[in-house]
Amino acid sequence: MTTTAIAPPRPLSASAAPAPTAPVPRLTPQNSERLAMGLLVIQPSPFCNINCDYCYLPNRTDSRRMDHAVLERVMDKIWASGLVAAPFSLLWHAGEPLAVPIAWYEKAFEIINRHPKAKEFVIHSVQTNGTLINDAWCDFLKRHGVEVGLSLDGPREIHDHHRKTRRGEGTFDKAMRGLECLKRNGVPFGVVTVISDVSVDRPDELYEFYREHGIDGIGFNIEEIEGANQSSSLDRSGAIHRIHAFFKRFYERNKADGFPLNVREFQNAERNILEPGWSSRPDGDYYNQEADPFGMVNVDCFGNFSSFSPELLGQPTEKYGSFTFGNLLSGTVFDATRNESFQRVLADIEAGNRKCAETCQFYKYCGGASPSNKYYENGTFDSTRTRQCVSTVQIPMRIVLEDLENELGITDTVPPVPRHP
Amino acid sequence: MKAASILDERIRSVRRAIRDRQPLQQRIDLVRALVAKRRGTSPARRPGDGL
Repeated sequence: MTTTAIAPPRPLSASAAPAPTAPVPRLTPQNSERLAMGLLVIQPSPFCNINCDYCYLPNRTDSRRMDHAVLERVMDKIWASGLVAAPFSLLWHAGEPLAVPIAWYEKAFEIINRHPKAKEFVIHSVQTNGTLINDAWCDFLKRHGVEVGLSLDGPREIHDHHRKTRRGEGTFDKAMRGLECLKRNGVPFGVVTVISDVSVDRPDELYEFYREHGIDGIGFNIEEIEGANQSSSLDRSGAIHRIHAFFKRFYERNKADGFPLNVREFQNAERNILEPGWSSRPDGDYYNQEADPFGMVNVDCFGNFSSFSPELLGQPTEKYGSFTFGNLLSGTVFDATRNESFQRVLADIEAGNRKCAETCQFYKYCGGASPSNKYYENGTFDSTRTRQCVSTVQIPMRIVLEDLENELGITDTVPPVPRHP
Repeated sequence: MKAASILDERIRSVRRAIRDRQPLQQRIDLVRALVAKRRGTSPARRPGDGL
């Protein structure tokens, strides 16, 4: 999952991360109603106005757009599903969601707000490359309280290495104009930075860049092998060591300045360590929304939908068939449970999570991590360790834990090594 | 680097290695307990409190 949005934990008895010995009943439309949704991802269009070379999304030149009638049906099905038990994030994600005109969103928000629970339950967010942001967009985003995630990889040389236009030009200047526009208009935002081969050894430059530009909320995504991005610039050996060194140095810089930057990975690690149950299910295990059937519902511009990791939407596979589990124009969300591909994906996610639970001491703090990374890195959901889980869960937890231990003097509780005279 | 400093660093290194071999949960439980003891009841970390 690649956004800054972190949906609030919700009380739920879901089946995605069962105890190792507990068999899970097959989901059906009838027994799915106990589930709840924390994130609804809507792709108003697959189109993106730029062409980052590490992007996992296919069809980024397709400029077709969701009809408002489709959105209306989608929202009707979501509300009617019973999945809305608590406030949820509605993430506008594409492509580049701001490539769709403001007028389209004005109508879309009017449709969504027709439901009496919308104001209370829908938390809008958008993940954007920032290149199209202007005062009119800022006015819209502010007026509707939309949470903004800005994709920005750091200083010009780093950012422009991967984030280019279709003509091969860098997008740094346009993204920074968008950032300055957000700041000028008082629109809160967080930044998502993809760490790739070009930035992993440069934590100081990134740290100074964020400080210089008043960016204080950051999420790091390690360049992933996913979807259309069949390889990562971090594929070479030694990547984990370099990623660890990056996070460690970044943490040290931030700590030395009194933690002015909120880094998603460290915040999650710290909460895992210091706030027992901050993201737990009633049974005490970490609630992993991405592995929970219908915890995330991901809808494309034609009403086709998927679940689990949003990155799976629209991706073709040999092993599982399509990750499209149904269409909300012709059916309901829970019709997915009649889809053989959905059942195979769910069974493998659960099998993989059981293995994680049996073999990994971090399982309690990640709930099996991201299914899409398991699939794209290991070839199957029925697997365990990924570079993504090591990088974004294990390494930050190790760094924060070690820092807390040092602060608390726990090192000194270890029996001293005898000194020879 | 002086011999004493080298020895100190080696001692710290061995201690870190011992600590790192402890189960994660055990380490977290100890941190939680010590933080709670320092702060009374709330384990939440606050800026500027030295942790």
